[in-house]
Amino acid sequence: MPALLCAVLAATVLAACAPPRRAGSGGGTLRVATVTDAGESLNPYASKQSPTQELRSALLYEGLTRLDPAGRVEWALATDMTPNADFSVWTIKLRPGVRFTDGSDFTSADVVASIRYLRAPEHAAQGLAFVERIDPNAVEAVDGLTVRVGLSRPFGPFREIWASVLLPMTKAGSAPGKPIGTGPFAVRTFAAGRGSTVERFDGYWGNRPKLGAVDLIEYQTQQAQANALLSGQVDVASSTSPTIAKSLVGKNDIELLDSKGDFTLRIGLNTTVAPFGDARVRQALRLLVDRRQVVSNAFGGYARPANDHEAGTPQCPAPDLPQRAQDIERAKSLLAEAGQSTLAFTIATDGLLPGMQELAQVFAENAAKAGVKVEVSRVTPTEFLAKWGQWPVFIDFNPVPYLPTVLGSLLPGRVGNATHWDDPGFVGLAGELFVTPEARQCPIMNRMHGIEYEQGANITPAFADVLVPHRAGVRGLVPDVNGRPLTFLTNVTVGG
Amino acid sequence: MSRFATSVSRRATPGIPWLVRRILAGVLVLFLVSVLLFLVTQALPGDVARIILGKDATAEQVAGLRQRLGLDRPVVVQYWHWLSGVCTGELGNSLQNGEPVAGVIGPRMLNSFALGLISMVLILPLSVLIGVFTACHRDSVPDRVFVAVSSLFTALPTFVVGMLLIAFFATSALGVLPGVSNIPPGDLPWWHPAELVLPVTTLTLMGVLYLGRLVRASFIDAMNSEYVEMALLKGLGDRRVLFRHALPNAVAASLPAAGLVAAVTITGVVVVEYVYSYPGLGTGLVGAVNAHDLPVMQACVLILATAYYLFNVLADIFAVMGGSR
Repeated sequence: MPALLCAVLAATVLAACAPPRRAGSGGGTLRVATVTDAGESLNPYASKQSPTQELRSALLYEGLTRLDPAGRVEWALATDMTPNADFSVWTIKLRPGVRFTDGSDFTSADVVASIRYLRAPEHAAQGLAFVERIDPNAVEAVDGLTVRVGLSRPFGPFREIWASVLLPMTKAGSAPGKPIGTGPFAVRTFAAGRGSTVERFDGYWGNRPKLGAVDLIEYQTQQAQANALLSGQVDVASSTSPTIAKSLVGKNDIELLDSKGDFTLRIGLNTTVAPFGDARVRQALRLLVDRRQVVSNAFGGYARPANDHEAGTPQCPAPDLPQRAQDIERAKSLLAEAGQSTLAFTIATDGLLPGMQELAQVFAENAAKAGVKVEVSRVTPTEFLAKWGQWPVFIDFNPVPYLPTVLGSLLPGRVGNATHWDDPGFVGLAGELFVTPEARQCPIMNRMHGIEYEQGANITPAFADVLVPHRAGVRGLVPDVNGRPLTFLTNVTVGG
Repeated sequence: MSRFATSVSRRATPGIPWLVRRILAGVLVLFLVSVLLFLVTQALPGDVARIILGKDATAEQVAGLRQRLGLDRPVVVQYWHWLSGVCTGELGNSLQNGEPVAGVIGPRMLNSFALGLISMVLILPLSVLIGVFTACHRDSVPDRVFVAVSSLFTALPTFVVGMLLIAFFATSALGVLPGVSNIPPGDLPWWHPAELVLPVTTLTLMGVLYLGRLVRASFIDAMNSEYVEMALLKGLGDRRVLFRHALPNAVAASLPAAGLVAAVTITGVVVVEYVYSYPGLGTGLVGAVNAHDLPVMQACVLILATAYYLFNVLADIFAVMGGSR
């Protein structure tokens, strides 16, 4: 009898200690290591979104348009957008038969509510800069699947803007508390700073993913992500430095997805701080850079040289400007002309992304050849943010396509424009671009790139690849020119 | 600790008044810790509202958030608001995501204490076992190896030991254990024994190699003492002398150190958690510091400081008991 009691007691204790069985999802679960973000939420309109939150949002929510892996804009929740004659009013046709993950229909009322939420300044939505031209009082539902959007100023590239992951459509009234989207996945579990699980939404209107679920598991460091991958605890590491990537490839059946795209790390020169307001000084500093050294030393070879302007678009590649190369003598001459032969300054960086500090150090070495003294100051991300817009020289990054870049960080007065660059020629061309039909935008963009190349306030030495190491059993991943390959999971499968 | 303990031990066996005084002193220490932490966070560069909203927010939006969070009020008022909340059991909300602090750190606290407790349960008997064994076989090969290894590991920072264990057991050599110790949200740590092995091993290794040496030294002292010699001269058997006379005295002498090792283990989890990405108070604290999330930071530090203080008191009590003995 005592033995029986002991056995029952032991069984009870063991049962209490055992984990509950988790409901499995047909199609397998992809385990993705991501960066910890204790401040994250499910709100896709949040004012500050980490790569982890953006990745999850891309799986849960959709915009009116979207970018394919080659960077081309394609229709998503909208099927057509028609402007009036002067691009000041747009009529959006919505895709019929789309359902939210709670089973309700997606209608024009949801689009109106989403746009008004985005447009309200008090919500401080991160994508606000892209929709500032929308007049919130002129957004109306024409019928169940048609929305009319009035703008305060004409704007031609309307279709492109809606492809941003920061401008998704959610069910009216559901944001910010429990936003409901139309994406291919729905939230199963979420714990801020720890991780989340999203499962396939079988009522999705488009091609349903083969995966049953995606686990986003958050780790504090890239090294921890790499360790998790090496020991088989995750299938994919979402972010890694070139150094770590090189050390992983070939070990334990790990492969590398290399997205060669338009992601830039750049050195910003604050034009309101002397002598960086002088275009000759800016040009001289650009001539100091050995771009091949930047590619090999700062990015471990996983990059390609850039030419001091942002990338083009699939429809409009960057113009064929002469590739800028290191020219110490010409740089010295320009500095002497500007009276800055003994120039010395400090580059501030928070080292948030792989390659940032390395880029600053390579630049400092290059500059020394012309007698320019450059120090690299690593500050905390909080301090970097606190003095945003005040740093004389700083390392910045840009992960978005050209039009959002212009709107967000190249035009004067934008918070993202920490160089305070204000070129009348560039501003004029941007205004022209915004009222030009899509088919005629390319020559204007080329001229804008030319001004960046000649007068710009950013030194853009390289386009960095985005590296995603994964286990060999993960099939169907595709490289993405915008550096977000994990948002394209439709054909991804997980093997043994 | 030791000076205080010695002074107490000279007076008398610890009584209730002594304990009450120690607890009151502890409350004062925790109060000072909270004031210091509050002042330090005020001195940190960076504005919490700007950190929350990011670089794209306008100055008006940042000012609005500062007002909503009460960050525009005088520092003393902010501190009083927090302190009065703590006294009434209200720890406030995380500045990062608005979640109640108790909900944020509750599961993490459980994870950390599970890690610390399992380690301590291993450290104490293993230390005694190894300490006694090496003392009994003084100058033998195992003893020399133990002394050499413990000297080496005591000199190494904990995170280096952690990285070495990860490389050997998880990622580079054997590949038999998880390289990181993620406990999924909602799960209890002991549901994932494999994930606990390396963090527990790291803490245990550091604790045993330190405490084991103390036990070894105490045991050698005990074996060289007059009462042991007397017992041997009286013809008592080796085993009886060892276990009835030398061992209790050696262990009693090591108990205060065991209390300190426990305190160090609880706070040592901060480093170990970071190395293994273990979701406990340590990693929570690191995240809160990075984001200037004062309510979460205060709660984590106060819990760790309380644990540290309580184990110190325990060490004092052991010391006093040892003295009176």
